Amino acid sequence: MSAVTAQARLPQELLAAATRRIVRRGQRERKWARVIVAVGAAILAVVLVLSLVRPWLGLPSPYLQDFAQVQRPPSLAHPFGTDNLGRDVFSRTLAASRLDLGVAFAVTGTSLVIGLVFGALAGFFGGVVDTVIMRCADVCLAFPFLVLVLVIISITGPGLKGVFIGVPLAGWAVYARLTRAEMLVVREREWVLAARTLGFPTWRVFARHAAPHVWRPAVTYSLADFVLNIILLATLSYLGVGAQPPRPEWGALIADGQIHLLDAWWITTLPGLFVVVVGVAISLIGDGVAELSGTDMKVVA
Amino acid sequence: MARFLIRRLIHALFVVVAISLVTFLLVRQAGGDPARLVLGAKAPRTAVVTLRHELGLDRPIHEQYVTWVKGLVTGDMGDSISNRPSSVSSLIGPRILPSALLIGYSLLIATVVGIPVGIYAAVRKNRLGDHVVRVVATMAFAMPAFWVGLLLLLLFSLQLTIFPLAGYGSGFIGHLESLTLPAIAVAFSVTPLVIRSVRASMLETLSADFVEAAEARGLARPRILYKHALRNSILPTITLLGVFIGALLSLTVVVENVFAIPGLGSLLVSSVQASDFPVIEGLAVLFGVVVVMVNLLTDVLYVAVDPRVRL
Amino acid sequence: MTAYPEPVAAPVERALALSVRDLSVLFPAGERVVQAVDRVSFYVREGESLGLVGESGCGKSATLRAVMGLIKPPAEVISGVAELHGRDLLAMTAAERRAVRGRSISMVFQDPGMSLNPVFPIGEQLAEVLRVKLDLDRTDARARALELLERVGIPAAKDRLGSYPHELSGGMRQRVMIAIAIACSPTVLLADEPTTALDVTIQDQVLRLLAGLQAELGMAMVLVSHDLGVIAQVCDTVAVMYAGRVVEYGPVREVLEAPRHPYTQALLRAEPTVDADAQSRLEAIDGQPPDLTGLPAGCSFAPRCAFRIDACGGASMDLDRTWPEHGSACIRAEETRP
Repeated sequence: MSAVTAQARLPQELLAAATRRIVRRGQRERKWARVIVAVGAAILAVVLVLSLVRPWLGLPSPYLQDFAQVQRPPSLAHPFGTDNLGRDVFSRTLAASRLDLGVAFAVTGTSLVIGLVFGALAGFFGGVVDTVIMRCADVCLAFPFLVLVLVIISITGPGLKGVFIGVPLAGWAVYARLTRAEMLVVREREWVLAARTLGFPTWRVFARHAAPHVWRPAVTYSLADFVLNIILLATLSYLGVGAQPPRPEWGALIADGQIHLLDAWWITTLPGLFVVVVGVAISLIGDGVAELSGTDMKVVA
Repeated sequence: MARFLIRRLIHALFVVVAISLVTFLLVRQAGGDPARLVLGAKAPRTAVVTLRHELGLDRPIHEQYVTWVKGLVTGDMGDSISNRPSSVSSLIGPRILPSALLIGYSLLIATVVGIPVGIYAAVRKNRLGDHVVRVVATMAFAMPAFWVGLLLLLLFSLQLTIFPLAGYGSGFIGHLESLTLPAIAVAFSVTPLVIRSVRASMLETLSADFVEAAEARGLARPRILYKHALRNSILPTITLLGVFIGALLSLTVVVENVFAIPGLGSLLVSSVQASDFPVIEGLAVLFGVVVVMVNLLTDVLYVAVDPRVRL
Repeated sequence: MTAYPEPVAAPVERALALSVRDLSVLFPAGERVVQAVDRVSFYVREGESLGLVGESGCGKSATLRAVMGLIKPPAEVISGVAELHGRDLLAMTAAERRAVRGRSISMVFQDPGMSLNPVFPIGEQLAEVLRVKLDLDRTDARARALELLERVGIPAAKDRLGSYPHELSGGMRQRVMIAIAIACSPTVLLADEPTTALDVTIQDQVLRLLAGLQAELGMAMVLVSHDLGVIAQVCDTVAVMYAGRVVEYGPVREVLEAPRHPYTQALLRAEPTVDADAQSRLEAIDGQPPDLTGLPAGCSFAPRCAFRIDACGGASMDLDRTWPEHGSACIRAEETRP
């Protein structure tokens, strides 16, 4: 006969200890995510502050050429050393931050906004609107990003103008896709359906009930995009078609040091390292935020 | 299945046509007067008019477009402006192989490194191993490819002289040698993407019911991971090839410049710098078509490989 | 009260196949834990079947998973033993457990659509188990796979070997799962809601199949279901679970005809029966499902119980053994006796 019989007591201490153990394990994982965001944000804050207060830091001016100090290795007086014209590399790097971060932020924001708007429209209204917008997105996405930007720069000429036009033109499509997918879900949510059945005009339903809820995937992606745009900007300057001299820009700094790679490695290496640190900081923030907000970030198609 | 394929094909065709149109309009119209560019700003008006006639630039725009497309299909993309009298196709042709090799080589590195690491990170989810992998991947991703290339040059070509400094080398082995550092530079940015997506799809697969069921059958962990789970998560990773190809192409453009590789990327940059529009046009279309084709291919592959979708 | 179960003397002494004592499993839930399984004990002899019945969330599935060793961190099995022919499954190393799984103890899951790997043909999944567990070569494994498919009643089995799971109906997929589970003629079969995801007409077929196979192979079976009808059809003994604890056990007939615990009584009243009066209404059980993170002291069913008295708040919920072989955790079981 199969049977069930008396149930013995579970010692309270065993239960309590196990409870503590299990709860702690679950909490540990979330804690890491918060630490990561904090570290990233801290690094970024330091960089931002440094670049803003640079003029008052007591470093030599980024434009000051001192031929007595040509190509000096990193030292206390020159944390990143000097370049072939005697300019302080660290000072130049910090000066470049304003431009790089500012421009990258601007173009990322522009792409984000354009993408959000068109993606929301496409997802909500469907039909012809959807088809037209998405086909445009397809065409934009059919070109490798850098290639498209280069083509546009070939038309507008080198300099920031090309960047400001080219990057959003190429970049909006990803945000549009993400937002559209989100809108397709939000569109079927109860409060949207309720608003429709209440007879609200379609525009109102779109603008006030549906659209405000679709921003999450796009904004989460924008942090990764920010990093990509920083790198893109540096790449363009390295190739000589981005921000033009004498404006200090990270990519240009790295290019300057290229010919002196063997004897003055710091000119190329250290500014690049700085870029990497900034990029990592922003990525950490992005990853941490994504994990905390629980967004399911599939790599964008 | 067939209907799906046909639909995809039509879509791809449409995008290709749109690409050609957009490229043509952009470059031709906004790009300034090619004849002037060739002859210079000081050239007399008559010379410019003659050249324009020669180049067919005084015909109506749609005629120009049709001529151009016809040329595209037959392989004639016109002549380069800065490298006259070379034709665009003669400039592009020999450069296809170096770029293709570079792409293939870096893709190889990225998958050979990325897939096992991605699996490892998924298995060790949220433990130390996973965190280390993710931080390292983030760092690698934040490194601009050209900077990595320069560093590699510094270390392995200049200081250690293991690899050649620049160029393409001769013979297959020579090519591989010359392309190693560039491929690694490109891989630095692509491998994190592979790791991230393999990890994500493995995590999804590992939480599926059939994995638990396989464990309940008493199958060994390696077998469950590498046979059962991997087969399922490889599928989404294949489609990502379509995403990666765009990034890969962009990366090769810049890396070719760093290492002076005679590929399509360095041609693009020099053409942009010289405002050589016919070449830019041709390259833009080529790149676009490649991306579209690869996307189409991966879609087809996905459908062919996934038994669930077989109809 | 004795600390550990004493198997009750039976007319024909069959060997103990599975013996579970004091099994407790904790799951994390935000800042707290859920005691999904609370000091559950039972045993099954060879050739017999035990049903675990209760509402969703009562811990019956978690119990099975704990026995199979499928409980993963952050959840934990914090106490208990599960002896398979005398060897404690919970104390085994991973390698030992793996050797035993599929071979001596198997499990059939609820949703065969999700439990079969979608990218491999069913023949391959079946043959794999045979090759790995029984060390058969490819040809033998294939032949045996075919045999097994026929045994579980798959029509045109030969053609089906190459089919993918999505090409089969739910009932057939479940038969395949059963085939995989019995492939090595295990001693114990655990079935977690094997028919819940199937059509009613198919349910009956699959249950008959399970019962038939059990008799044929002499397996001990633990069947989990929320459906009393299923348990009644197949099982010899039943254990009723509520909020992670066993509240009543006994021979199926007895428990269903003369339940000794208010919860069991309520469950029975809530089930529609064929011969019920057309006018009579289904009685829902009063109150809310239990919040497993904060169970009340004493009897966990008390808040919803019609027979509740003050003493219930301090009751121990140990199974009373007043009547041979039929126990109830209710301190008023004596009075609720019909």
